[in-house]
This record gives sequence, C-alpha cells and structure tokens, in this order.
Amino acid sequence: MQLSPGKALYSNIVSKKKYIIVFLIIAIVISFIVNLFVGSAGLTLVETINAIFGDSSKINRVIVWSIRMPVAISAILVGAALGIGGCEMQTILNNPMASPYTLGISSAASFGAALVIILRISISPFFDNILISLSAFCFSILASFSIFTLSKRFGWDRGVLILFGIAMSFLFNALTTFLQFIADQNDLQSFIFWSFGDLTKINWTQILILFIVLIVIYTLFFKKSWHLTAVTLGDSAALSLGIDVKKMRRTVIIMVAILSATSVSFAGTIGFVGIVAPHIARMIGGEDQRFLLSISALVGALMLSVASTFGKTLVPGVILPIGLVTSMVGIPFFIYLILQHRGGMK
Amino acid sequence: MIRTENLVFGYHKHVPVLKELSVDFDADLNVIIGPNACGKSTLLKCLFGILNYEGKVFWNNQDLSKLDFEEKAQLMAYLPQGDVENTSLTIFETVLLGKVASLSWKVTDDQLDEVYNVLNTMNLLPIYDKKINELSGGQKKLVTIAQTLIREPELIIMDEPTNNLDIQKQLELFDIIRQIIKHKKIKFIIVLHDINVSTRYADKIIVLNDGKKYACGQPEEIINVAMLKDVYGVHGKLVKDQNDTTFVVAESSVNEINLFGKE
Amino acid sequence: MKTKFSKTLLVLLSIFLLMVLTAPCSSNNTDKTGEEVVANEKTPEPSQSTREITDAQGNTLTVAKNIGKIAVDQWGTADIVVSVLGEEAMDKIVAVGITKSYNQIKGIYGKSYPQINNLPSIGGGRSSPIDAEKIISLQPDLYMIANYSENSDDLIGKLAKANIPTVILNISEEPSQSPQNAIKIVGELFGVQERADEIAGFIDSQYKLIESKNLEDKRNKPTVYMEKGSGTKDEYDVTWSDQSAWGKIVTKTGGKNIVDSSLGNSVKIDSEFLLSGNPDYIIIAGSVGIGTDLEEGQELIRSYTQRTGWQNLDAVKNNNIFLIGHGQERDQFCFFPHLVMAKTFYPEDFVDIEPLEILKEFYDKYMLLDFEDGHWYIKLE
Repeated sequence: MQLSPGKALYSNIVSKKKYIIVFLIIAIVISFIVNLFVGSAGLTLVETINAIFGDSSKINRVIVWSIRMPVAISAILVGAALGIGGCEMQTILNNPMASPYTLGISSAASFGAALVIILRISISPFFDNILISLSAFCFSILASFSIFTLSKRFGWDRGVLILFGIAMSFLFNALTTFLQFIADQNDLQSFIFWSFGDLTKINWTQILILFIVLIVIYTLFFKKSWHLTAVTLGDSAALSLGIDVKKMRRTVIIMVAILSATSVSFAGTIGFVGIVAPHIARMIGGEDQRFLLSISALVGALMLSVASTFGKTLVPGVILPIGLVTSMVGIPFFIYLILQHRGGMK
Repeated sequence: MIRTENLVFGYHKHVPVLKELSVDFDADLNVIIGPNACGKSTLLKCLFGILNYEGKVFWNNQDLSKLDFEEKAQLMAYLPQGDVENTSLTIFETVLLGKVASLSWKVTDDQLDEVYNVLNTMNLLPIYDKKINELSGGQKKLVTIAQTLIREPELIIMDEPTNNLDIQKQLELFDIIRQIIKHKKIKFIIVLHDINVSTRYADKIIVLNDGKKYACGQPEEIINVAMLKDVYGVHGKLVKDQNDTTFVVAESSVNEINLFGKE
Repeated sequence: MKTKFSKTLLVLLSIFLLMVLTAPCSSNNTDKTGEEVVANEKTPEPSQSTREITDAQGNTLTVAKNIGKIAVDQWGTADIVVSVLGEEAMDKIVAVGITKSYNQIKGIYGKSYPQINNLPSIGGGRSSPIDAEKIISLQPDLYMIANYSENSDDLIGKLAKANIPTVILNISEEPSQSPQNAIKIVGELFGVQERADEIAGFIDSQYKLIESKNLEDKRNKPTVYMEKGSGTKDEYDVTWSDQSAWGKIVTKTGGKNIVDSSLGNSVKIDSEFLLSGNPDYIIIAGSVGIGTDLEEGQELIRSYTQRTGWQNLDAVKNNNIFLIGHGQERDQFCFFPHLVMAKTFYPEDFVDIEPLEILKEFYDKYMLLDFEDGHWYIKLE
C-alpha cells in the first residue's frame, strides 16, 4: 500500500517522540530497580531479589517492601504529578517560569499543616497525621479557589493570575511565619520536618490515593491534549480555533490544584522538578501535548526517582531530603541543557 | 450569510467604538476598509463574539450570540491580527491544529494529507518541520493562513492578513483566496489597509469611518474622490487599468503639515 | 453546561469506583509485607521471653525480657539509659540519632568506650529524617525516643512491622517530674528498678529541698529575663513565658519572669520592653554542658552585654548575667538549673548548698562521663 505523503512527513516528526517515550520508560524502570536495591541496610543483590519475591527473612522483606518500595513508587508518582502540573501551568499561563506551585499551593499547604501542628488541633492521636495532610490539602484548594474567584473579575488574564499567585504565596508565608512565631520548640521542629519535601513518610494508602488522582487528572488532560496544544499558540489564535481559552484556564487550574495539593500534602514541597521537567520535556519532545504531557510526567518521575537514589547514597548514613537533592543534581544539569539548546539554535 | 443589526460596542463606557452599525456581508469576498481606529478590527471581534456587544449578529437568520466558541469555530474561522506566540511546534503540527475540533489521539491519513496539500499550496512544504519560533514574521503569517484554510469553514474572517507580506506574496495570497472561493465555496470577510488591493479583489467593500458605515457596495460604486477626502482625508485621483479596475492615487493630505513654519 | 456537569459526575463516580475496587488490593499488599510478619513472629515465640510494659505515652508494648541491643533517637535519651545501666549501656546502644552536638558527645564517649566510635549513622536532626531501614537492619530489641511528636508515627509504624517496639519516654513534659518517670521506665525495661528508683529519688530530693524553702511565696521576688543562647550582639533570640519549661523553673525558684504568656510562649521581644523591664537577673540558655569551652561561654555573655542599652541594666551592672545549658530544662539534669537559680535568687536560704557539688555527685554516682568534661554554669566575670 502506498504511504500517503502527509503521513510520511508526519511520521518524521512523531516517530522520534515515540522513541523518547520508550526510552524514558525503560530509564524509569531501571532507576526504580536501582532505587530498590540501594539502602543503608546494605543488603546484597541476591538478598534484595529474594526479599522482593518473598523468599527471605522477614526483616529483609520489611526493609524492601515497607521501606524501600513505598519510597521508590512514590518518587515516580510524585515526580509524574509535578511534571504534569508544571507542564499544564506553563501551557495555560504561557510562562516558562510557571510551576505547580505558582498559584501559592505549596505555601497554602504549609500553612494548613502548620495550623494543625502548631495550634495542636487534634481529634484523636490516631488521626493526627491524616488531619495534617487533610488541612494542607484543604488550604491548597482554598488558595486556588480564591485565585479562581478573584481572577474571574479580570477575565482570566494570565498576568493577573500569576500576580494573584504571588500574592497568595506571600500571604500564606506570612501567616505561617506568624504561626512559627508563637510555636514552641517541639512543634516548630515537627513543622520544619513536615515542610521539607520528603518521600519517606508516604504510606500505601496515600500512594493509592495519589495514583488514582494522577491517573484521572492525566486522562482528563490527555483527552484535551489537542486543545492544550492550541493554547500555546496564544489566546487569540486559540480562540479563533474555537477554544474557549478562559474556560480552559479555569479547568486546568482546578485540576492542577487538586493534583499538586495531593502531592504536597503527602510529600511536602519538592521544588524545581515542576519547573524543569516540562522544560526538558519540551526540549526533547516538542510542544505537541499528546507527547509533551507524557514526556513531562516521565521526565519528572525519572528525576525524582534518580534523586531518591542519590539521596540515599550521596552522604553515607544520612538520607538527604529529596528536595535538596533535586536542586543539587538538577540545576547544573538544567543549566547545561539550556546552554546546549540555545547554542544549537545559532 | 452574516449580518449585523444596530451593533454597538465600546471598550469604555460612553465611548462607543461601533455606533449602531448594520452591515450585511452577503458577497463572496467582503473587504472592510477605513482609516486607523475606525473600528475595523473591533467589528471582526464582534462578529466572532470575542467582545460583548449590544445589538445583534445574525448567521443567516440565527442569532450568533447563542452559539459557543466551538460551534462558531465550525461555521467560521477568525484570523487575528499579529503573529502567533512563539512556540516550538513545527509548521506541520501548527497547521494540523486547524483541525483541532476533529482531532483525536490517532491522526487519520486523510487529515495528514489535507495538511500536506495546504502546505503544498502555500509553498511551505520544504520547511514543514521548522519550528514556529524559528520563522520570520511573513512565514508565520503564511502558517496561520494555512492553518485557517485547512479548517474549510463556511466563512473566513481575516484581520489584515497581508501585513508582513511582500507584494508578490500579497498577490499570491489573494489568488489563493480567489481559488478557494471558487472551488471550496468559502466566503471571506477581510480587513485591509490597501485600497488598491481591495478594489482589485473585493466583491463588496464596506467603508467604515468613526464606527459608522460610510458606504457599502461594489468597488466601483464606492471608491471615489469624495470618499477619499471624507474618510481618509486625502486629495487623490482615480485611474483605471485595462481590466477596468479602479486604482487610487493619493496625492496630498487634506491637512497642511507645517513642521517648521510656513514656507 | 448540562453535559459538562454529567461528565464531572461521571469522573467522580469512576474515582469512587476505582477506590472501592482497589481498596482490597492495597490491604492485601500490606498483609503481604507487614501484618503477616508480625503475626508470624508472634506465634512461634514463647511468651516467656517477652513481657508487656507501658511507656510514658501510655502505649502498652511487648518487649523482650532480656534486652540486648537498643537504638535511641539522641544522646539525651542515651543519657537516661546510661544513668540506669552504667557501662553496660555502652554495649547495648547500637545507634544514636544525630543532633547538634552528636559528634562532640560521641567523641567524648568514644575515648573511654571505643565501641561508640563505630556507631553507624541513622540520620536525624533538623534536615534529615531518621533512617528506618538502617535501624531495622541493625536489629535492635527496641527503639527509644525522648519525646513523642506526630513525625514519629511513620517511623514507629515501620519499625513495628519489623517487630521493633518504640519506647516513648516523654522526658520533657514536666521538667521536675518527667525525667524521673523516664528513668523508672528504663529501669523496668532492663529489670533494674532499684537503681532507677535510687536515681529518681536523688533527683526528687533536690526538688524537695527547693520546695521546702517556699520560694514561690516569697515577697519582692527578683525579676528575671531569659533568652536562648543563639542570639548575637545585634540580634535578640527568643525568650520564654512562664508557661514554657524554662519559665516554670523560674517560677518554681521564686523568680518573676518579666515576660508573661500573653506575649506568646516563645517569642523575640522588643528591646525597649526589656530595657524598661530592667530585670535583676539575665539567664542565657546556650550550649553549655559536656565538652563546652569556658572562654567561648564568657565570649557569648560579653557579646550579649554589648547590646544597645544593656550597660544600663541592673543585671549587667551587678554581673548578674549568666549562661546555663539549654536542653537541661528537658532532661534529668533539670534539678541543676533549679538549684542554680534558687541559690542565685535567694543566697541566704541556700548558704551551705553548692549546686555544682550536687551535680558532681550525680555525675560521679550515675553517669559515665566525668563532671570535669564540661562546664555547666558560666557567670559573667
């Protein structure tokens, strides 16, 4: 059968992207396995394999299944969530500096957590941790909805949205600082512990919730991927293609808010991945959202998965918080990428 | 086709840009002309419903304000003034986006061939995989036009599409438009600055002045010395070529310019 | 609009369905890893080798009768174990969580007990979580923490899956009682209740001594200002109200805190407030204790006195400004700052009592480190 001329051209553009996705998935699987095999207990390769398949001492099984596995899985899920959130925020705001936290979600989550920890709000000790996550989640959603309501008046202007986001961050930072001010030593320590991004505290239930939210939001975005691609052409161009840009912005903000709020309330604030993963994805995979969305998610997942492994090995005997690692490893790499990319254009 | 009834719009209260405008765009190639800031672009935005106007816009006999963007986009395409934003989409992908309403995960061969044909028509095939942010202004315009053409709506609204195009490209563009009208039965409403291009190609010219309809009709009825003076404020004369097409030669401004005092 | 709404409904419904469908899977998962482990471990072991104890948090724990190895969250917790067990503690402790003075204290212990030098790191401190995996791989019989906080829940849960119970001591709850309680719990754990009671009795008697003087009923109480010792010449650090641990000590020893709880329990105050309050005594709670350098302490006090306006304060004029170990308000040495303050505020009531002598006695009797290894109380000279 004769290949149609349009398809011939198009497959030139697309086939590369398919390979990139396959490559990224393989890389993630490898990094996931490495992550499972690395840890302070110093299990050997064989011991770990036995522990994974249940044919081992109970201790080794607990180490692999209850400690390493949740971290390894949540690294991938949180990374993907940040990648997707960052990708769509950058898309609808047409701003390369946008991230899932642009609308003040992480500051609001911190405040929500601080409120419970420092004011010692408690239903029963058993529910304390759930309450902290819940409060963090609610305040993130509250922040997004405030921006939502405020922006309505300004016709969902991109600049206004970003400004409100900055205002919201400052507001919640200030409120959190105030709470820290009246906090006693132990609570302060608890809060500091909560606020830095850390994957070790995520449990299986939270992983399941994050997974479901991630899949649902990803599917919704994926179904809209052509529309989202059109938005990158600019507001008026998208409008002329029949896309209600304001409505688009509205739904994307809600969905990113839910996704980021879930990840922040479970894993704390992990900076940098949400900004950088979409950039890297765009550099290697182009702007077509059918691929960009997936590649952003995969790059984010890979970054966090690798960072999680580094966090366990960089300083022997100490688990470095993952947010610190993403910045330390990621920023030089990112600068290198920018230089490569810009250099190649000239 | 599309017509307006008593259209009123102002960006600020009590400062109307369009003043009770009633226009019927019933020809194949309707061209709106008029001096700067007379409300040409605003009129197009109202036709497409981006702005909240008073009065009515009818598509045949249907009130257009009752439709949402997606439905309107199936009837007509609106090509705004200015360039698309910088994006790293390739030309091929950008043109394909014109089909956004009917695209699904798997792009069909037919859709891809349509893109191929349009790129071919617009002479964009050799640079199909260039990224938008690597293009010149003129190339970007061609890509946007290609994107609009691929949608095959019943009506295409274009806001100064010849900006950034050299003379040859301008003429080529209108030849393309003419052929589209002939073969695809698509109608056009185009805002233009160049009166001579308008008279050569338009079936109907609408002259706007200060938010009001100054005149409306076939080029030879509309274009005259009095209009030039009233609307554009220039003294000029009319010339006819061998095809009986009227051309305007503007000679001097009505206003005297005395930058350094009277000579 | 209507279709949008039904779409949203559909999505919500499917989320719910997914949750219902996947919930059993997840619980199976935990069965595989955690609960099964606990169940298996419990049945084969004869009940003679374990017993139940209740920790300070009120949790009932199943612990081994003969506790071999223990991991602790910080040196402060280790100190309690050391006071109860003596040199034996050095063989039982297999890991200590990192805190600010971790290396300093490890170094001092390490000189006399070389096994301490080989302690593996389990993380901890402000910026790194405690490494559950490392603790589990060390296979201690229990993990012991000084105080409960919500952050510990996750770690406690993971250790429990590996059959490592966590004993919570809550040393800091009530300065004059909680450490004794913690000592008694540790005594019970290791089956040395008599020794534990003796230590707790020693500490109790110091508080009885102070209470016997009825300092809280005194008139014309001296006014006191306290500050955390991380301030500088230019910047104030936080002070504490009478609701905080340090504040309670001041109240108990007959001082009058110039900061009341209406300002907050832990706040940085306005310098004007302090200068107009003109306290009789200024107490800086800083890093004094094991391994402290005397000269550094003096330097810190001097930098405080160089603050704007401080030369006019009565406390500074009369050299009534001193440095005492921050952290002592929440461990078993808390009787020492009590004694120091009581004697400072009311010297006539404590003529023949030497707080430093009493502390030395405690160290000589119950601790492994030498009293001479540190400085405990530095007064401006």
